[in-house]
Amino acid sequence: MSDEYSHKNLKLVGRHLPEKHSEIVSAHERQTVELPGTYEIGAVIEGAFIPLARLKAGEVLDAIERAKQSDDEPDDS
Amino acid sequence: MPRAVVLNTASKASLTGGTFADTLTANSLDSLSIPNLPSGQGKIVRMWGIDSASVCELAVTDTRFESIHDQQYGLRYNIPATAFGGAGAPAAFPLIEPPASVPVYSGDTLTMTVTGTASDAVVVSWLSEYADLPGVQALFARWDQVQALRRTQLNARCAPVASGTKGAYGTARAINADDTRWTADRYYAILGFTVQIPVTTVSFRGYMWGNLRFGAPAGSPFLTTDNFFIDLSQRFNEALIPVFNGSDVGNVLLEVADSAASTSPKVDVIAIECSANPAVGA
Repeated sequence: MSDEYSHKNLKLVGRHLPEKHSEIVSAHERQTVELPGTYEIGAVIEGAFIPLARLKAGEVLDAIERAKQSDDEPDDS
Repeated sequence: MPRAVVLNTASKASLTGGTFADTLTANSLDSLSIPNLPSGQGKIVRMWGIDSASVCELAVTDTRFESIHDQQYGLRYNIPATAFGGAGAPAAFPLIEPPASVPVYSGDTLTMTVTGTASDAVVVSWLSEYADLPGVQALFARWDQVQALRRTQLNARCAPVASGTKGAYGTARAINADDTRWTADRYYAILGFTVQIPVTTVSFRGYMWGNLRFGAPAGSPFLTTDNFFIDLSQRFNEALIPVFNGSDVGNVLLEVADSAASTSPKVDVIAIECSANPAVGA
């Protein structure tokens, strides 16, 4: 069955794509700030990144932070 | 007497978790209280909501049997937040949709509690219609009036960003901050908008609407937002298309709220430029 696949053992990868945003400081002044943007999870097929899911990066970064905090908590058992 | 349609949002950035253990609080400038209404009654014509990471259940209560039956659970609504590609992607699910509506009564207060997962954010927004709200003479038009006065159409970019605090509105952004093609003294009827990234709620605010919010969801089930206000107007057969004058463009403010922090949906506002005020006689 697996012989039917043209690509086997595909690698799942993720990439964070922050976004530049023009924030209004005053009527005559703007500043560029970086927003969390998006996080893409995908497979690399012959060097091409094929996105499978596009998530709000804020959610992903938040989940990573929570996981880190959970790992840091002392184990009472 | 002046009629008003008002958008409110309530949220909690990080749930404690448990059976209806968390109570949502009103966002900045918003309220869970029903204002004093000379007619005694208003109605919630649309409601939508989201949980940032897990499914959840919302209970909406107030003090009136005619509105919510009882105060134990009131009106219960599920939010299937993991549908449409998983948590974080859908941004908003419908809870109350036309032609259904829920009556609310003068001076009452809504309470929204949630059964959810610890650390999740929950955001709920709703549109209330008041047949008579003292102090407000909001500019809303019907679709046939807008069509009759159409000069041209203007689709303009505005890029508000959600707050870094989940569920809260971000900084207000004037509708002409990113696209200045609006013309002074022309009347504009906002038909709807499109977004690049789903977001729970897009709010419009300005003194032409009594400085109260008006708005719409822009989550995955609501991606046909281009004619949202026409659709709302036609479903209720009422003037529900917001109108403003181009001279006031700097005071038409867009804000967005989302269950994720700092979401940047990039709103393209779809407006009809009219030769006269389409809200007159609406």
